[in-house]
Order: sequence, then C-alpha cells, then structure tokens
Amino acid sequence: MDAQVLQRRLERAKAEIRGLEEMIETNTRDLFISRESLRQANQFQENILRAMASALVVLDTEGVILQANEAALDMLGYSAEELLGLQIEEVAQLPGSGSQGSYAVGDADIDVRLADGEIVPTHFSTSVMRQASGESDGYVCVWVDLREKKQLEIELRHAQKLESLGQMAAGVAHEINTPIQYVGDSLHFLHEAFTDIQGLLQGYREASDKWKESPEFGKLHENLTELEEEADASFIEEEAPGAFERATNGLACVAKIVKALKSFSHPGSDTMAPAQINDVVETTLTLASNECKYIADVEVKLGDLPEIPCHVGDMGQVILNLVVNAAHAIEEKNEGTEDRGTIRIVTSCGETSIVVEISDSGAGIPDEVLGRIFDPFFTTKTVGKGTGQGLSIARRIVVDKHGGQLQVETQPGEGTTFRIVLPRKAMAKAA
Amino acid sequence: MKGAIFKHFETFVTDNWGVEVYEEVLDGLDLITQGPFLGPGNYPDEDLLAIVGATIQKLGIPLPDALRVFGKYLFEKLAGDAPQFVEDKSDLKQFLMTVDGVIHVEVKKLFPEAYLPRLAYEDTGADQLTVHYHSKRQFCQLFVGLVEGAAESFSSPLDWNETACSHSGAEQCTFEFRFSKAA
Repeated sequence: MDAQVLQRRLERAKAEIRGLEEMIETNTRDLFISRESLRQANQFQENILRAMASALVVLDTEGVILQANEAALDMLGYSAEELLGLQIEEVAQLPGSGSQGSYAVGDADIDVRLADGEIVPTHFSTSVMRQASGESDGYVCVWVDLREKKQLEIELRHAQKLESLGQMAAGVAHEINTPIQYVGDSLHFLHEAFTDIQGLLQGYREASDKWKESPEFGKLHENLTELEEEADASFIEEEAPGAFERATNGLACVAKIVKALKSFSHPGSDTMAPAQINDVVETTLTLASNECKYIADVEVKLGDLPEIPCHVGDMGQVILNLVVNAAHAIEEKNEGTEDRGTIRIVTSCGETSIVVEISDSGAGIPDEVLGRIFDPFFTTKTVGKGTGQGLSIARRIVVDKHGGQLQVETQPGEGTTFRIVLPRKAMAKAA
Repeated sequence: MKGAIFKHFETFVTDNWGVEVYEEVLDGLDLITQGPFLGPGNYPDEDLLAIVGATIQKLGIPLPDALRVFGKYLFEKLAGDAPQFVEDKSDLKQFLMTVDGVIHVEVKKLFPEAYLPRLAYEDTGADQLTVHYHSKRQFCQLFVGLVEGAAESFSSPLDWNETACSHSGAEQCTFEFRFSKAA
C-alpha cells in the first residue's frame, strides 16, 4: 500500500480519535448535566410528594400499590415495606372495584381500613395514569383524611346549638332584666314606705294610748287595739324588715345571674381581645353555681392577673366545662352519701403565662382512660350526662386557638387538677 | 445521515475493493464535511451520496445495485451493533413488522435528530407482507438490500416485487414480500 495513502489514513484515524474524544467529553458533560437535572427533577417531585398533606398512592393497572407518599404511610399506619406491593382492596374498597384493576375514575367518600384495623372516613380521588400512547399505566389516588373535618362539623353543630341556646339565654336575660329593675325599684319604694308607715303607726299608737282612760275615746282605743291584733301588726313589724332584706338580696342574686348570663352568651369576636381571666372565672362560677351548690364547696383564690389576649367566650366555655366536670366527678365519688366535696379554683401569673387551676376532690381519672380523655366523643359519664365533647373542645380552644397548654394531674379516688396555661402574649396557632 | 453509515460504507468498500479505491474516491471529492466521519455524528446526506456516487462511478456499478448490495452488507453490521432487535424474533415477517414501531422508535430515543424513513404495513397473508416505504432520501434500493440482509440472517428465502416506486413518480415505494420457510 502506498505510504502516502497510509499516512493519510493514519492522519484521518488520529483526527477520528480526537473527534471521538471531544465527543465523549461533550457527551460526558451533557450526561452529567442531564443526570444532575434528572436528580433535581426527582428531588423536586419527591419534595412535592413529601410536602403533600394529602395521602397519595400510585397503583399499577391491576391495583397493586407501587408508590405511596409519607402522608399516605402516616395516615394508613403502614411502613413503606408493608404497604408497597399490597393489593389496594386490602386497604380500601375503591368505587367500581368489582374486579381488580378496574376502578372508577373520579371523587368519592369511602372508608379506609388502617393498619391497626380502625376504619376511617376519607375523600378519595382516582385518576388514570396514561402512557404517551394513551394506554393506561395505572392509577393515581389521592386520599384526604376526613376525621378532622367530620370532627369539626360535629363541633360546629355543637357550637351552633350552643349559640342558639346562648341567643335564647341572652334574650331571656334581657327580658328578665327590665322587670327585675322595676321590681327592685318597687321593693325599695315599699321598704321605705313601710318604714314611714311604721313611724306613722307608732304615732297613732301613742295617741291611742292617751285615749285609753278617756270616757269619750276609750272605746275607740279598744277598737284600734283589736284591729291591730287582728292584723298581727307586731308580727308584721318584726318580720317585714327581714323579708325586705331577703327579697332585696334574692333580687340582687337574680340580677347577678342575669348579668353573668348576658356576659357569657355574648357572641364574642373572631379575633382575640385583651380580657381579665379573673372576671371570666367569676362570671362562669355564677352560672355554674347551680351545678355545684348541692355537691361541693367552691373555693376561689384569684391572683393578681394582667389582661391577656384571648377569646373571652371560648375561655368561659373551657372553665365552665372543667368546673362542671369537677362537680360531676365529686358527685360520682359521693353518690349515695351526704358528703360534700371541694372545688378549688386558683389563678396565678407567671413571667410569660397565666395559670388557671381547677381542682376537685372527686373520683379522679383511672390510668387506663387518662390517655383518652381529650379524644372526641370519649366519655365515662352516663348517657345524658356527657357527650364526650367537653375536654376535646377545651383542649382545642386552649391549645389550638390560644397556643396554650391544658395539663391534667389526677389521683384515682383523690381528685383531679386541670391546669390551663395561657400565654400572656398572643401566640395562637389559629384564630 | 449518521456517521456510522459512512463508516460502514467505508468498510464495505475497503473490504471488497481495497483501501486504495476508497482513498482515491475521497481524493477526488470536495465534501461538505471537513474532517473525519465519527460514528455517533450526523453528516449531510449529500456527502454520502457523493461518496457512493464516486465509488460506483469508479467501480462501474449502477447506483441501485450498489445501494442494494450495501444495504445487505449494512444489515449484518447494524444487527451486530444491536442484536436485541433481531434475537427474539421468530421469523423475518415478525422482525420486519417491528422496524417502524419498535426499532425506529428506539433509534429516535437515542438520536432525536435522526431522520428515518416511514414504513407502513399491510399484512396480506401468513407468508406475505406489503410494506410502503416513504423517505425524502428515496433509498428504496438500500431498503431492499437491508431486507435481503435480514432474510439471510433469518435464513428465510424471500421473493419480492416493487409495485410502486418514488423514482417513477409514486408518492411512496411499495414492496410486496413473500416469505418461504427455510429449507
């Protein structure tokens, strides 16, 4: 072969090698960039899946679970190893799943079986994943746990019921308030008038006594004395001041209850406003007195508290719930006896928070139910005495609405203390 | 056109007619591409046509015959590069029917800029197949050569008839293939 031809082929081969080297370098760089982009895209998708509050599950065309985000694992209570590979029917009966792998697309409310066997209501949305060719590649399912929503709906219904009761109470209080005022005024007038008439009566008596020996007016004196005895005037004079005092005190008591009722049933505001918790305690105790007075003595020790930002109406409800619970706990312990218990309410102020302690000498809470007392609908009370909502709502108000704490200490057979800790500065999680 | 085709053509010429023939062909050409042809690169169709044209002129072979022989040679090389597309096919007809929908799709994934002919199929019988070939390059003889190479690879005797050709004014070329069982 010609040396020149060989030389040319050698040069071309060298150029090919150089070209291929450059190509490899370029391709390697492109590959690196592509892999990095792919990694970022994967990471981005993973972040989206991880950030999703809703549970997301990917099924193959036969209904086998291929992928699940963290929210799905949390909600269902499975580990990834346990869940992936399961047939979806083992977790939930999807709409249209008469046969495996044939699922209705769209939204539906369905019950889901958690890993611990609990059945929970969920909102379920199914979409078909399609390949570029249009062929089905499986299903994407998004679950929303409806437990909290259902709970909120129940609480809303409860709140609406309480609101209408509150409106009714406010109306009744308003209607009672006016007659109380004129009954009070009239009572005051009658008391003064009676005092005046007493003076007048005394004058008549003195005049009559002077006529006793008179031949002309002696008979009149006898008649007056008989009339006075018939009217039991001495008894009236002796008892009437006490009756006036009792009526005045009773009326003041009614007025106080009406005022408390009006204050408690005030609709309040959506935003927190500075309020004096000691006032809330006193108002609430006025309303709860009927629940307590035959069962327990109520001891109140109110500390020097600053005003704090809070939802006054909500806090009144929390304190009322805890005081009523305390009364019920004492009633349960002392059932069938004449014994009375003690409810003790103490308020105090710390550097960053204020504390309201409500203690009772009741039955206490058994260890086995202590962990569940804040669960919605959990109650140990007899039918008609408790809905199981009181402590759940109290906790939501204190913790969620005010960013505070609701602590409990109990000694079965000895009593229970609930401690409400509220921040002095607003730090509510939700308005 | 992919650089690999240029490289396969070079090998085809040097294997059959010697290195000098190919070098003489290149010597006489003023190609658009200034440099070597690299397998993964893309180069103008005109360069391949110029090389092929100069080669057949030098060897005195008609272009259709050259393309057909080259196609047959090329199939063996391409099948060697990507045996997975051939190995799991039971017969030639089954293989041919995967070219457009499978092989070309995979080629496009690797080389999105590659221009590929479009093939349409009419399954006219158990041992028959009509294929419509459409390409702006009009390399229908190369296509025939490739099919003949595949027939050899599958040891499948093949008869064919081109019933329409773009070189004769048809919109596309149509081939009727008839397959026989291997002896």
